[in-house]
Amino acid sequence: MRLRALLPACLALVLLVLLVAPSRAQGSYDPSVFTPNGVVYELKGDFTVVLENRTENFMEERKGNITLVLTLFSRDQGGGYQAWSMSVYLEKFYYNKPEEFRTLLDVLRLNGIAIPPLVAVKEGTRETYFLVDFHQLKKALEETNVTGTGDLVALANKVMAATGEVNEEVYFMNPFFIPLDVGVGTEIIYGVYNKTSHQQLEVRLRIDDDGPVEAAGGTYDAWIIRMDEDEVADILAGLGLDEEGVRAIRSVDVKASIYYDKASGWLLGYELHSHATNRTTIEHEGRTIIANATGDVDVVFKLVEPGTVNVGGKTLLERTLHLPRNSGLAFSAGLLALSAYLGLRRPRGEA
Amino acid sequence: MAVLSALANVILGIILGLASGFFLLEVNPSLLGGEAAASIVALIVSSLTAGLSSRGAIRGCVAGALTGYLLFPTRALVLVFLAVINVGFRALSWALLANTMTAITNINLVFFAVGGAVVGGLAGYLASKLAARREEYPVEYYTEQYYEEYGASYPYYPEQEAA
Repeated sequence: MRLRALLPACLALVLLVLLVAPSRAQGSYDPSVFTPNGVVYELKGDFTVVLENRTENFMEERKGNITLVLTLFSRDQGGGYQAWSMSVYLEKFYYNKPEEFRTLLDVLRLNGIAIPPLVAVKEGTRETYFLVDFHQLKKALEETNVTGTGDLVALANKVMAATGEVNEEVYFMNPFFIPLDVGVGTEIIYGVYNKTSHQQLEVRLRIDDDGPVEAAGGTYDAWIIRMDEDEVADILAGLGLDEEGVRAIRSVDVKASIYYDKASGWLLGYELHSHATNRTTIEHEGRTIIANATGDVDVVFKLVEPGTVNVGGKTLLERTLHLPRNSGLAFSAGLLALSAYLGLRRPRGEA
Repeated sequence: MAVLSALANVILGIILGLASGFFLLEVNPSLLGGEAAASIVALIVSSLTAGLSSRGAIRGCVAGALTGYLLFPTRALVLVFLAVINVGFRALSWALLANTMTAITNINLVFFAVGGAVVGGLAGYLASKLAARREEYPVEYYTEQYYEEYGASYPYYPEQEAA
């Protein structure tokens, strides 16, 4: 009889909890994309610029490469926001004219940096807000006159004081994930929006293809966005680049691709390869000469470790234990049974 | 001694409850009726597990409340920990792990604690009543024995024989 009376109470409780439970994710997004933890990307950049004039017996080569490792972390910011932070680690740096970078390297004197949460993703959307009060930051920057290291520390403290709360005035579309309900031909929106002034900068890129892409030690079925120099020039023209700049971009051979995992919508990588040849005037031994300039730039931003994001539809635990995802049901039921056994069979007072 | 025993019961309940909830949260949410429903099912199962093994309304209530409160932060921390193992134990990762741990203070988990306390309390109450009933009316175990003088098999009660 008492149990019968408890049933409505239990149902009411479940309803209450359902009503007040924080919505962890809605819509057509994989819930894991809002809370990335331990997600590692590798950014590799290579460039070569050769200036040459054979008749003057002149050749100058500048080349370099850099490998940066980025690790994403997130935490619950409250109010339906997930704050994202990252660490950046310089794994490799080479430039054949090191003296030009000596000052910069001397200033940095470190090969890694942890960046505190500066942006927060609104759950269920791609809207990403800054955790920076720009008005307070502007005021702090105006008030501080940097003349030495002590001032730099003071400035850093003031900048940090302006961070922490979600600034709902300005947001941008998160480039790290896309919705799940997309297909070939769907436009993916990238942009920055100001809710107060209603200003916006928006770029729409179309999914051109799908296919297997290698990333994070596996092959994943991916959506592919491809761009060439004309598309890049059109985008930059739309963003306000002048005509001369647009013409310069069109003269460069550009191939860019963006890959998103089909199962989770998570970014697998960006690739940019460009090649350009041009004629330019330079100063050589006090004379102005015309030289052929050849430049190659390759930038690859690639997912190395998916962390807690369900890339390929697999959870971190699945990847770690190599067990099917739903085997968790069996583990959970087993533990419940063990608990019931302990509760009912164990003599009273025994731990 | 009784206090220590109760404490051990509660701790065991919390550990079992958190483990069962953690594994349930790893299951595909569509199997449990969606993301929000999966959270609720995980909360109910974890606090039920905690309450049952705690055995006792008060113990179950305490174990259920703590399990409900700690379920989501524990899950997040375990996953972060696993991710950090995969990434490598760089100092920077640890700095960010510490930052992530502050997340616990930001989540509104009171509702989960209340829900866990109610479910855990009920489970503990039921477990204690059922266990008490078992002690009050123990099941008599018997075996069949063949009696030659009667030429047939009859139940044999070893406990009665011993008495």
